[in-house]
Amino acid sequence: MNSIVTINQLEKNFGEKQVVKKISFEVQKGEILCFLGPNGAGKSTTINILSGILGYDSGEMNYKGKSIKSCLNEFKQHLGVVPQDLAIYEELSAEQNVKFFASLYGLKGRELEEKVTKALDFVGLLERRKDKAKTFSGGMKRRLNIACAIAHEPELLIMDEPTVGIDPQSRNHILDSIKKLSKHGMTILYTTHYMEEVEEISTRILIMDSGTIIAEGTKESLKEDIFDERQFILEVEEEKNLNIDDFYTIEGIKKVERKEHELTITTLKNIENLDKIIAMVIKNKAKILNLFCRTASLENVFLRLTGKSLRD
Amino acid sequence: MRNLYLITKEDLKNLVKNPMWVFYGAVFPFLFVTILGFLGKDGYGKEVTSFDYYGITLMIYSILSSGMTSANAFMEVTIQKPNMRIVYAPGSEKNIYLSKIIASFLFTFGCHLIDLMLLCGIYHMRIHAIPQILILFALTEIFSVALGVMFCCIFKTEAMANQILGVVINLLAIFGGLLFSLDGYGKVIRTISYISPAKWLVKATFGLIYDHDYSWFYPTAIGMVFAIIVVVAICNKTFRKEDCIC
Repeated sequence: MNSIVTINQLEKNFGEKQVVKKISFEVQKGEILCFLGPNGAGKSTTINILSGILGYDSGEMNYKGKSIKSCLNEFKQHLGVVPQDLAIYEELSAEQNVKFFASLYGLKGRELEEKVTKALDFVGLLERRKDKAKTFSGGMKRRLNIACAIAHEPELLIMDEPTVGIDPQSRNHILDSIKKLSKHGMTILYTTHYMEEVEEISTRILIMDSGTIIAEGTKESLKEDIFDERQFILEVEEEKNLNIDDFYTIEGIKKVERKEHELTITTLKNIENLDKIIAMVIKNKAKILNLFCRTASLENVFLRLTGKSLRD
Repeated sequence: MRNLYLITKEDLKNLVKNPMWVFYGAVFPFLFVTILGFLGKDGYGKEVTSFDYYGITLMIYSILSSGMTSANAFMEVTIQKPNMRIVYAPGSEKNIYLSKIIASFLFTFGCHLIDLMLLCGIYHMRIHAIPQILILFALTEIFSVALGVMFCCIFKTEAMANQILGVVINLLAIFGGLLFSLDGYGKVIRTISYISPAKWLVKATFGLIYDHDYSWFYPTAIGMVFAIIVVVAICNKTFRKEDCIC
């Protein structure tokens, strides 16, 4: 993949406080790069710097190999931003909103009309295009906020928590739209607090905490790299026959817990020992009713890396 | 340039569609002159009626108050958020405050022109040297709206800008003798009153209407142009696009 944007040693201070600490990353063409981090991690600051609304103290930002500072207008022409706040005119209709913002990117005439219609259709607001934004629900306003950012068909779309405070139906619509945009070749940089959204849409993840990038990779690689364990959960009958200490004789077993009918066995991931665990249960004259394997979630990865839950 | 035109057009539409600003810009000055004109009718002669006097002084007061409109057009919460999207778009960030100045000027000047026409038509307000008076009023209007935007750039919020602007406008109006004449308060007060541009405007306007005297017109107009340049330069210096992040 080609990189569209390259950030190198980016640093931003607010007075004495260092908010972004020499971070470096690349945004690859066509990917959905999710930015994860607790409040105050520096995600929004990084995004505001990238979208040109905030300056920075040191470092480099390049767009297709050229310094963004030297080609800011060219970069902005290919950039769409969905801010966390609703940046729309409440008194204007959906169509007027999209038309106005798209016209700022040089679109006019028939091309403008076509792209406005396409954007409104894409977010499912074509039928309500003549209605004022103030009559829309929160979810519809969020979708209009997206339409305003994509009408000029940007190459890179930055979305800052676009699903905050909306109903599940609109949220699903937005997530489906993001996947569709990505299929059409748009590159997306997405920040969110919702881990399940990252699981659903991300092709790559950046985890940020206290102004630095602490991990980077696909969701699978992050889980693989950070956790060397997995858990087997066994639902058993006659569990009183089980001697917990016997399980520790099996190679790779780290922890065994019994809670009523449930036996939770934590074992090293790279050691194949499930057959031995099952044999041990049978040997202890207990009966396995159900068995499943639990792997690490992104939430676990995040907790392990930052020591805090994402919604803290 | 095209973006400045598009943003200005949108800002102007927002002002025209806002009933509160239409009332404040067009209806309020007319009512103000009407009420004080009737109340003060007996205190004035036939040569210069109360409508002739208040028609000019209160119009100047209304023009000075136009900064409130531009402050609102710039930083009112429903406008401030879309401003953020304008920063994301290609083009100069100066378009944001320049468009507010131009749109507010067009709106308030339009409102005040209608008021002047109504006052002349209904109360037979005396007026002379119309082009010169319109030039003075237009320059003052530009100065006022730029002042409103400047306070927003400095203080970053509409509420704070309006509070300070309210004090400044009323001080200028009082010193300029717009609400009551300071001539009877002694030589010192009379001299101090010339600090206020409102005083120059009153002097220039009444001079033009009643004495056909142009001696105050040119210094006042040049002074206003200079003041506009200073205020816009301060806007340019103090405007920060990051303040558009809500």
